[in-house]
Amino acid sequence: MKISFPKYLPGELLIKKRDALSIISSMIIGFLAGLCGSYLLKNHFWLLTIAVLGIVSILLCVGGAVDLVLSRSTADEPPTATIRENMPRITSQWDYRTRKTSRSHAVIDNPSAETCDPPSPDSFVINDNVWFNDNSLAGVAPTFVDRQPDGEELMRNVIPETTGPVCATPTADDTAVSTYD
Amino acid sequence: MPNPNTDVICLLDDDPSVLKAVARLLSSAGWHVQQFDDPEKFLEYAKIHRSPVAVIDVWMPLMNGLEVQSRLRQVSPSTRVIIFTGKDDPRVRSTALNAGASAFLSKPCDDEELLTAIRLALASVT
Repeated sequence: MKISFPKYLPGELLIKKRDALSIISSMIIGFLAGLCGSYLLKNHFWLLTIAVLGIVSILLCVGGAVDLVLSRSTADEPPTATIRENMPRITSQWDYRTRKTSRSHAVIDNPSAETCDPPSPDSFVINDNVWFNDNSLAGVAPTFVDRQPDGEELMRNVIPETTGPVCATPTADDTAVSTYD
Repeated sequence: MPNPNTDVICLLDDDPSVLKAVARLLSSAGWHVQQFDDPEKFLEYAKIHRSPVAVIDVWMPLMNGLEVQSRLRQVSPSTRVIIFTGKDDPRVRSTALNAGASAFLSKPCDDEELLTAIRLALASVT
């Protein structure tokens, strides 16, 4: 992710522009006042010279004072507030699924929850979409293998409505149900 | 006592994205993971290495999970089986649990639930 910060803040640019304008205008006024004063001095208009120089100096002082007041008012604002406003905001794109509250060791007691009854409900532990087999945790007898039909037979018994081969590719319905498959 | 650093968990699923995601989760929990998308290769591996726990999908094109579970019992009886399926069919579930599966999880399930199921299965392996 590329995060780019502006080189100058908008307020900062305005201050720099105003400073430059005031310096240029002061130089122009000073230059004109000098010209005017030299001309008046050349013609021996002493009083006029003094008056012009006085007015110019007053103008320059007023301009400087105004500049000072304006710059102080902008300096009083906390700069971090401006920076905070212009900061690019980084929001998390990670959309993690909500964590469900787990019902630990809740034994099946509601018959409506299941469409068929497990042979030994007490041995199974249900947690919404997790079923633990307590008997399996205690260990499976070695003779268990001999008593069980093979998986294909199991599947045929379990899903009698399956018309195709048991090991066939999952149907569109299956894939729709599973978010992973 | 199962050791997360040495226990190898086998994953069998025909979907590579599921294999990748679950393998990443189990690796982050400290287990070594062996991934399989072919049930025959998985059974061959289980026969030799006797992995303590196997996480098996039900709906696979070559062989269904219940058949794999049954054949696994023959080649590696000590391996604990966790069925991890996208289609929660109560009949498949009860059959798998009756056949000795340690846990039956329907996708999508919470990461912690899968880890808990594996920990419980490992704890039952003596």
